[in-house]
This record gives sequence, C-alpha cells and structure tokens, in this order.
Amino acid sequence: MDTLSYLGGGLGELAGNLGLGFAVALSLKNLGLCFLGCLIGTLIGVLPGVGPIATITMLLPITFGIDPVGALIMLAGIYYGAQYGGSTTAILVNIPGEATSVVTTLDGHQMAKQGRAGVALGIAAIGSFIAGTVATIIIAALATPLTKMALLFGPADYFSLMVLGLMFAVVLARGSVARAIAVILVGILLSTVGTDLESGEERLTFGWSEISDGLDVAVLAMGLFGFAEILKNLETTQTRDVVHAAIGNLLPNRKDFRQAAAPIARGTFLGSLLGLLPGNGAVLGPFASYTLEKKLAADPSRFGKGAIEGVAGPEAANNSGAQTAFIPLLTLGIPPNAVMALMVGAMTIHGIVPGPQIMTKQPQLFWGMIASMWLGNLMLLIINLPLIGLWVRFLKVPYRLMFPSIVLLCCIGIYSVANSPIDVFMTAAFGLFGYALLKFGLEPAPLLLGFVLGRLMEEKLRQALVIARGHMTTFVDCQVWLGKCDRPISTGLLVLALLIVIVAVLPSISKSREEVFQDAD
Amino acid sequence: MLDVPGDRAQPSGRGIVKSQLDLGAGLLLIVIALVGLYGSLGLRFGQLTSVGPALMPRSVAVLVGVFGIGLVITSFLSIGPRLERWHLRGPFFVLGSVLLFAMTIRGSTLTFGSLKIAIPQLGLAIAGPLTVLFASLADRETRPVEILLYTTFLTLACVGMFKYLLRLPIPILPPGWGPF
Repeated sequence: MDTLSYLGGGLGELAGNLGLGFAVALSLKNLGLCFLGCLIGTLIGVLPGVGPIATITMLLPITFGIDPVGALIMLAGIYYGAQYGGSTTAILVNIPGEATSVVTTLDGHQMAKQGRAGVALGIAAIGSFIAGTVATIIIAALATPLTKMALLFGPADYFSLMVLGLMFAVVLARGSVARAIAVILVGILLSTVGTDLESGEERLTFGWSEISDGLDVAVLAMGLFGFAEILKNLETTQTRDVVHAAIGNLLPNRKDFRQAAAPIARGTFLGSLLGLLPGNGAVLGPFASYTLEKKLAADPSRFGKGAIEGVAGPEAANNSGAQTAFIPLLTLGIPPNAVMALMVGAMTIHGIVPGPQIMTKQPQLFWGMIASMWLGNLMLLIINLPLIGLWVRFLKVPYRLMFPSIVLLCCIGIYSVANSPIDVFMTAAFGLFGYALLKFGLEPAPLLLGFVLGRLMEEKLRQALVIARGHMTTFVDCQVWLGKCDRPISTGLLVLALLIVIVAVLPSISKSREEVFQDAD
Repeated sequence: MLDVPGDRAQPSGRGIVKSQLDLGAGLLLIVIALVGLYGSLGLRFGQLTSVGPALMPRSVAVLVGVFGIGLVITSFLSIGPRLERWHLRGPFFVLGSVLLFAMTIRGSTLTFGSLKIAIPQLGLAIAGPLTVLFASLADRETRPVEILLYTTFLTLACVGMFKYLLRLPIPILPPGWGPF
C-alpha cells in the first residue's frame, strides 16, 4: 500500500515536473531555438569528419546572446542534430561522422547501395525517435531519486565515482589498456595547469600569464578533435562514394517495421543502460547492439550486406545512449564523456554549475531542458526526412572546399568564446599535439575526459583528505569483518573500479572486448 | 577518431626496435612527464594532512613517465606496428592558417628577443579570407579560381552571420576603415 501510494505520488510529481518542463520548452522562443539548434547541428554534423565535439565548439558562440535556458535547449538540439547528421553521413557516404555511427556504415551503406537509402535513413530516424522518447522518460524518472542520492555523496564518494568513470573510459577505449590509462593521466596533468585554488600559486604555466586561469576545455577539444581530425583526413585520400543510386522510398514498409521493431526495443534498452555509465559508455551502445542483433539473428550472414536490423538497433542504441549520458551530468555534475565535458564548458559560460543543485534551484532550466530533449527528437524526425535531398547535395561539396571553411569557422568560434586571439593560437598548438597523439596511436577522447574530471578529482581529493585528517583510508573506510562501514559508497565504487580493470586485462575478456569492436574494422 | 593508425600499419619487423609505434608513444609520454615535473618545480608537495599545489601534477607526471618508460621497454621486446609517415604539408598550412587568423584578427605584437614586429588588425573581412586561402594550400587538389570564388562567398556569409545576425563583438575591418 505504502509503495503503491509512493509510486502514485512519484508519478504525479513526475507529471507535474514534465508539465513544467513542457511549459518552458513549448514557449515560442524556446521551440524556435530547439528547431534552429537541431537544424544547424545537423547541417554541420552531416559534414564528413566533423563530429559532435567539433560541431558544438564551432557553434558555441551563436548561443552567447541567448538566456541560459534557451541556450542550453539550443545546444542540446545542436548535439542531437550533430549525432543524427553523423548517421546520415554514415549511410550515404560510408564515412562515419563520429565514433558512434561507425556501426551504421556497415549495413546502412549497403542498404543505400541497394537503392534503399531512404528506408535506412527512415528507420534510423524512427528508431532514434522511439529511443529518444524512452530515454527522455528514463531521465525524467531517474532525475529526482538520483539527485537525492547525489546529496548523500561526500567528497570521498565523488572522488571514487570519478575513478570508476575513468576506469570505464579505459576499458571502453580501443587499443591497449596501458595506453588508455597513460592518455587519461596526460589529461589530468593538463587539468592542473593554471593557478592552484588553495595556495594561489601558478602551476605549469612557465610564467605565461595567459594560461594562469587554466586551459579552456573548448580550446583543448577544438585542437584535439577539430584540427587534428582535419589533418588526418587530408592524409587519407578519401574515396567518398556518395550513393548514386536513388534515395528511394523514405517510409519503411510493413515488413521492414516487423524486422526492425525488436532490434529498436533492444537497442533502446542497451543504449540507455550503457549511456548511464560514467566513462563514455554511450560509445559502446551501437557496438553492443550490433553484436547482439547479429547473435540473435536467424541468418547472421545477412549482416554487413544491408540488414535493416543492423541499422535500426545500433541507431536506437546510439540515440538513447547520447541522451541518458546527460543523467550523470545533470544529477551529479560529472560529465561521462567528452561531449558532456564540453557541455560543462558551455554551461559555465552561461553561469550554470552542473550538479544536483540545478534541479532544486533552477527547476525551470532542468525540466525545460528535459522536455526539449523529446521535442528535439521529434523535430529531427520532422526536419530530417524531408531535407534529405539537401543533405545529399551538401555531401557532394568536395573536401578541398569543406576543410578551409571548417578551419575558419573553428577559428571564429574559438576566438568568440573569450574574444581572445591567444585561445586561437593555443588551439593550433593542441591541433599539432593531437596530430602527434594520433600518429603514435594514442586516442584523444580519454584525454579530454581526464582533463575535465582531473580538476574535480583534485578538488574532491583534497577536501576528502582534509576531512579525514590526511588518512588515505577514508576512501575505503569499511571493515566488513567488524560489521562497520563508514564509507560504503566510496568503497563500493572503488572495488567496482578495480574489478573492471582486472576483468579488462584478463585474456579471455580482453579478447571479447576486441570482438565487440572488430565489426567496425 | 576510432581510426588508430597502428591498426593498419605494417609491423616494424626485425631490428632492435620491434615496435616503432610503442617507442614513439613512450618517448612522447616521457617528454610530457618531464615538462610536467619541470613545471611543478619549486612548488610545495605537502603531506596528506595538508596537500600542497605540487602533489597532483607531480605525482601524475611521474605516473605518465612510468607508462612512457613501460612503452619504450615494450617497443624493444614485442613486435608492433611501424610509425606512419608524417606529412608536413597539411599541418603546415592548416595550423599556419590558424596562427595567421590569431595574429591578424585583432592585431598583435610578435617579440623575438629585442626584435618586435607589430602586426596590424585586419578584421574578419580580411583575416577570414587570408585564413581560408592559406589553409586551402594544404590540399593538392585545390583549384585557384574555384577557391577564390568560394572564399568570397564564405567571407560575405561569415560577416553577415557573425556581425549582423549574431552581433558578436568580432572586428570586421582594420581600425578606421569604415563604420565598424
């Protein structure tokens, strides 16, 4: 009875909160911003080799004149647009716009070659929409309890949670575990550049006053992901085979729907779950979904030759993961991946500190943003399908014209963040650094995550140590054998982190870890 | 992003260095670690009871160095991929064009010892096309007429969008040239 009334009360509260959110998001201005964000995000995201990170950094300045609620709604729209644009490129050109749409190239592009590009794009859009709807409900339902839980977190627990997140990032990164850990450590090292908050002393600035405030996440991201990516693309002579076959019917037929329904449901579930994980779980969603569908299929040999399940499932997983990744950011204030790290930067510019206090102090912003997530998904469905012709034309613009434009837009974007030419200069330096990382087989994505979490980690570490009077044991203060446990959360998280690493290095598991990624090669 | 170059590269084969990729990555990490250690010289390390500003950077730098040394050792022991060729054209023109933008958008002063070179502010309408044209040299396939026409169009579009539509405080022309 009690549980029932609690559940009822919870549902009522949820409805009330969503009502508030929709009231905010449905205002003409915010609706327009959401639409504009989705449209521009898709426009830039469609460009081959321009992922969500570069897109968001490039477009950050256009949100400056807008109030925080509107700006965040627009940025979220840009993010979804960029994600969806990446899938369009994957299907039509066989070049993944970003990491998560690698899987879509496998069957999506094959479908396009068979003259079924329209159906592939259609099912991707519909699957994404369904996944987005479910993910929005999950976010809304989990937000309140998770925020309440976050308030129980002490500095030690936060620190351990971030350690867990970084360990996830290590496991989910490609290549060797040692390389991933090393790259994350470099990110943490970069995060210590600037004035130490407690002592006021400058660290790693080499007497250069321009970086005494620390490095900017947008500058780092643009260098590592914007410019380094261009340099890499210029070297590989891309054979862009834009599909010449007709796009065909956009609406999948009854048989397509029957085949795609279950993969979409499974993909949505997998993606939502993985997206919740700290440490870039969202990236794994599409891979996991593809592997699962291939295992479940009656005839696995169809995969890679244009199986609709291979598009529907991963696309659903991609989108739901992209959205539930907001949960750790909005409730705990911890960005789970590089894109969310950038969102933190964007929020800071607008004077919002992500974390549990957003929901209680700025309910309009919080619920407005969640409601706009669903509206954004709806808009993607509405604007993308009719505009496919436009995207196809856009894709035919040769790279020799595209990359100088991207360079210019990146420059303007970075300059405008702080009206600072020095920032532009530093972006170039990080571009060179990113290029070197790629050349040496070091992945830049975990670096950015380490960079963002590094600052928070140091802060929480120092707080925790002050509280515990210098006892490192505060992180694992748990003597189960004595029936005493002072820090159950922190201890549990650290044990989990340790388990993950052990499991990842075990030969049998590390083999299957390769298997999950191998389809992408 | 997912395309780690080592995936497709040729194995380094016989020789003392069995994995050029590991050696390169290891050396890079060691350099980063040394810079980190150098940059936190003279700062208080502190104890656990009162953590000093150097604790985090120095311990992280040491760890980076350890991984770097580990990779260098691996490179002599197990066979791995060869380093990919480094290209100069792309980085030179693309990153050069970014520097060009940084120097000319609002003007700047370059200092080489006692030599000072003042670079005037050119503004978006001039610095923009300069950036695009310089960057375009990175690609051999660039065609002169096409890129000139395209740059003109792009510059007009950017000025229109960033100055008039979004009203960003970005300089458009050199100071004193017209109404900006």
